[in-house]
Amino acid sequence: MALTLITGLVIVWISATVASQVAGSLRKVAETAALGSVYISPVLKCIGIGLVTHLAAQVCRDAQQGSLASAVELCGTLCALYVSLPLVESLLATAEKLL
Amino acid sequence: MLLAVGTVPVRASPLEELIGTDELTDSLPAEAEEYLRGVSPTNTSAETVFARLRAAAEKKTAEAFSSALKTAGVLLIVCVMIALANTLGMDERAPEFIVLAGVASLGAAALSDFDSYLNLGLASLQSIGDYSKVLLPVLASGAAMTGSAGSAAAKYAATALFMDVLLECARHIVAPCVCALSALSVADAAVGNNVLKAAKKFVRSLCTYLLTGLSLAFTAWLALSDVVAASADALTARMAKTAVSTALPVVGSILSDAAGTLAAAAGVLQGSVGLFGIAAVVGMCITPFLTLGARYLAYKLSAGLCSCVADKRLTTLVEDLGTCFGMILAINGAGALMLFISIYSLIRTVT
Repeated sequence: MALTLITGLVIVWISATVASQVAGSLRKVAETAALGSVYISPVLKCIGIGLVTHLAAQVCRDAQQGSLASAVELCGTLCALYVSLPLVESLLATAEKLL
Repeated sequence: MLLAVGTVPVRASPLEELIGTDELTDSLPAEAEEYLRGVSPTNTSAETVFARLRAAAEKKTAEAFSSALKTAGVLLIVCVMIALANTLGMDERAPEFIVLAGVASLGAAALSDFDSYLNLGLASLQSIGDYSKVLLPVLASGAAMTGSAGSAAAKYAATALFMDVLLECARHIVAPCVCALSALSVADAAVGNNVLKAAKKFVRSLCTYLLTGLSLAFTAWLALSDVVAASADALTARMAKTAVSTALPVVGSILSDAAGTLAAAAGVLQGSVGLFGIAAVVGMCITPFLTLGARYLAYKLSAGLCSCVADKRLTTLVEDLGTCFGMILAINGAGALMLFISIYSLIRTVT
């Protein structure tokens, strides 16, 4: 179990290094074209949160801790909603202005 | 002697003063004035005017598409990122909160300045309506001088009525429907509901049928009133010529020929004024048409590209937001088309 966890962490760490470069390139493209990274960053963060949550929940299930896995998933969902809050507030403000 | 000195020679006013062409240049909106500076309504050169309009359109096309493609780029990147998230092995699909974040991002990016585009469309339609109230009386006066008083009055009345109806419908029905459609599209993409889909379809159909119905009703009314009034005008003119020729045997025919020459001169002037009017309306429409058209095309292109990789909800959202811009463009198109048809109809009115 410990070996599985350590191996998983190492693989995640290597993947995160690659993923951060991909995310950095996407951000750079968006900033160069003045595409408004304020709209792209929250989505990138949500994807990152989703990945971490999924991996953590799977580790918990491997350790026969189903309830802990559900708690981790709930936490991940709330974190993602928190990160998306500025977008939702902006959308609601626009809708209020239009309607 | 005193009588001779005291007699003030009566000079005939120029034709253009009679039908009031000065008001056409005085009432030009600012956006059309820059293209028609120095152009006289009574001596409009088609080549000069349309060369200026073409140069302005070329310049504004680059600006409009640059801005639209930037927003479309954001939408495309968000859709591609969500599609990539689906491939990262988080069960079969990405968690729902990632898709919701994508929907919120798309909605915020597309709608952040939506009200400015809506106001642009409505302001442009208002300008067209206001200018029509100056242009059409001038054209109607010119048409009346050619001997088509009845036709001119009927066409002017029809255009004024339908333009007012279109403005009211645009402000009180179509504009709220466009806002509702944008909100319904975001809500449908977020929660995916048959009721929301049906509501979207209803709103879209309502606006389409309303604008189509108004345009068809206007064209039909104009055609019918032309047919009825033209016959009456022709009969009236012929009776007047016959009466004058009969009452004054020698001078009468000279008078009726002179009246015919005057009517022909008014017809030539009317053609020039009509061309000026068309150029003015095109000048008013350049900015909103290019801005809204560029947005519409960019969003539809993004939706087409996204449909290859992205979630169907996101693709439909981008397409629906493009449709909203298309509907604002349609309002302007309907107003401009009504005015063009009316101008052409008044220029064509010849007895």
